[in-house]
Amino acid sequence: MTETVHPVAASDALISALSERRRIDGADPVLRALEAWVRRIDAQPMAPWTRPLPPVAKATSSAELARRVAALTLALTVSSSGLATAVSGDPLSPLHFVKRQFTHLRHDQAHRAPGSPGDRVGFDPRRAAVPETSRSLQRPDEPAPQRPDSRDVRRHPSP
Amino acid sequence: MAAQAGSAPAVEELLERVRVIAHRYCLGRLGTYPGGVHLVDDVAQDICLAILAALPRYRDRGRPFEAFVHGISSRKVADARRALARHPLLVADLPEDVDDAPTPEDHVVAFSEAESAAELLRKLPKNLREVMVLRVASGLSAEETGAALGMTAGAVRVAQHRALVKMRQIARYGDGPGHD
Repeated sequence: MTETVHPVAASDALISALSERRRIDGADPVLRALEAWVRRIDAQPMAPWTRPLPPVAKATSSAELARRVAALTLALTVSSSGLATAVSGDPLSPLHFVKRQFTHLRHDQAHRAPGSPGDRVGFDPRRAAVPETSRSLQRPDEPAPQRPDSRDVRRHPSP
Repeated sequence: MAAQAGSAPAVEELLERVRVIAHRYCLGRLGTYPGGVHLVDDVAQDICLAILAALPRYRDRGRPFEAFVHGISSRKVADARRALARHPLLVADLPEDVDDAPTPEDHVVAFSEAESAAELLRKLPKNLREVMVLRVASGLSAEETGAALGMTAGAVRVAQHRALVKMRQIARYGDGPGHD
């Protein structure tokens, strides 16, 4: 009984032998040429390493991430300070603005009277829901404002 | 990967392995061009340095490591070949220090056979030549070659079979100029 080998498998066996630097028997001139080519490649010596190795960056480490965030924060602070200097002449003007706003807010909180719309204890949501203009229109003791009648307009001839 | 974390022994080990593969790959690709052999060591070291520089980005790309190495290697070899075409390397017609030792005949025959293999490979289509260089010259397995080229191992086996058949046809009947 003869064993049949698929041509692709036969080629793979030969190429694998070349790849693993095993000797190939046979008179195929192409395989002999490839074997000589492989021998010549392996015989070529590698020159000694002449260049300095670069350090491998640890891009995924948390320390590296923290360093990058700190650098970015510093860069943003410096650039915003530069922008503020260019606009107002004072590099600390953004900080002054925040401080002013904060002081103003605290002052408002301290002087707010009880029962005022800002005071949440005496606050009536039903009253606050109606706008001031609507309330003035709906007062019962005042007569409703007169609307111009379209017929009156028709009576006066246009110039 | 320890080398990615910056471990010096791991980087050294990786570099040694990559350097052997890169050196063979460069010989396989550049050795067939006039003056190309003189560039092999430089290009192989360039490949190693480029791999070390790009190592932190490797995991993010989600590709097999062989494909990552092959992508860098093939770009570096292509750059070297373009440079070689623009500025051919000037070598003296005859070397100054001629080796007076007698050259055995089998060395001459082997050299001639190796040259003919290089010539046959140069006449293959690019995809088949790349498979043969990685598989035979670099010594990668079918699986590793497939990972490098984005193919299955089965496709690599079919491609190398087609390459071998084509080389036999060219050796027997001849063919036009190379595919480069």
